[in-house]
Amino acid sequence: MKKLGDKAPAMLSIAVDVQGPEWPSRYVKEFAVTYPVVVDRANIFAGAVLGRRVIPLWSLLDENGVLMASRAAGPGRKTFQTLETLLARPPVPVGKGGPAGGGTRRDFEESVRAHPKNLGAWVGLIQAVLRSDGLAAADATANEALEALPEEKTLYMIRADLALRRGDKGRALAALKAGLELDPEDWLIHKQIWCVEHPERFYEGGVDDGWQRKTIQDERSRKRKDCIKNPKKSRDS
Amino acid sequence: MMPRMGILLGVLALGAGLAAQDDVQVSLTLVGGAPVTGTGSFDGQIWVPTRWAAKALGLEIKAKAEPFQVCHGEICFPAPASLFSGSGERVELDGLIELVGGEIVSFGVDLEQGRVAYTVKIPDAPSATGLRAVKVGEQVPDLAFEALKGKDIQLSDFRGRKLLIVNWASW
Repeated sequence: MKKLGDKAPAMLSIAVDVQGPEWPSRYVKEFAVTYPVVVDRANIFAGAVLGRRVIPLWSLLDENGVLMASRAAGPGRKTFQTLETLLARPPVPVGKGGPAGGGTRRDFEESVRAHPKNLGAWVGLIQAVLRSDGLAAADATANEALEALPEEKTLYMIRADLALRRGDKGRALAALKAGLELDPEDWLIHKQIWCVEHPERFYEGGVDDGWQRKTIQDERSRKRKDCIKNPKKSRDS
Repeated sequence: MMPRMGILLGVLALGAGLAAQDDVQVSLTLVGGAPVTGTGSFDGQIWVPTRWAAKALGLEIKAKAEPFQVCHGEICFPAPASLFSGSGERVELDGLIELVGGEIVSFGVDLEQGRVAYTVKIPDAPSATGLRAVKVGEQVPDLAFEALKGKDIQLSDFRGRKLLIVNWASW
């Protein structure tokens, strides 16, 4: 970024650890990161807003908060070249369809009443209730949201996040698995499940890639056997 | 990412000796709709009349002067100049489909007859309210995040400057 001089963008690092800030904080300290780092436990930005299911992911917004690009890629020459090109572009005039998000608890309560199928309103309301009334109240709101939108995996991620904050690992895992069932290709939810079930494979002596590869093979093998035993169930799922 | 059909056609065309610039009959079917046929050209990519593509895909395309835009429902996407040729009269079909988040469900080629056939799925035009998948060219919702240090951060805190966001995890 130093090479970009005054063209350098602002930076924001978003850790998607459902378990919260503890482990991201350690890396931030170790690498002496100077730009803002936040936690998005339910993966709302990359998962719900950008519809992405992998990391690392970089996204560039222009001066008006308009999405210019989003790529699943790490740092490297190609990424830097792409960024250099994009940074030279002027901002897009903001016209139709202003941004959702942002508002008071009352705004979100009214939104939810008027538009009970609006995911953004529910997400905003759950966050507002969490800030003002705490975990139990936020959990109750999340349950209401799931009654209105039972097929929204983001809400299951939020439920998992709230459960982990209360130390309820069982409920968190159930929520993560429900989210994964809605979107079996969501690799982020998959890894979050592994992380909660087997923290020793991630947080003791580094990430155990060999274990992950073996676990994927075992899971696929189980799935194939299940497919053979229950072809109708596999077709319908 | 869907491979560019123009590139696929180019590979096939090299084998069949189809020269660049030949007229190509293009059939375009939106999933659930009837096929629409027009005449395009091929030079490694498939180019079709802009007005024809807009009508066939249910889009509104502004290509007479910059800034070029392609609108689908309430949402408009800035379009690069390279997507168009001939003062905006022609548009590169694969790029247009990709810009609006469409998917090429199937693609057929008859090189002898100089015909290509696309079946395309374009997602329903989303409403402007609510949390939904945002595409390039759209404003991102003003989300708030829990900061590791200090007070919560909102995306609008960064307005007025380009913002590079990196998503990662400790695992």
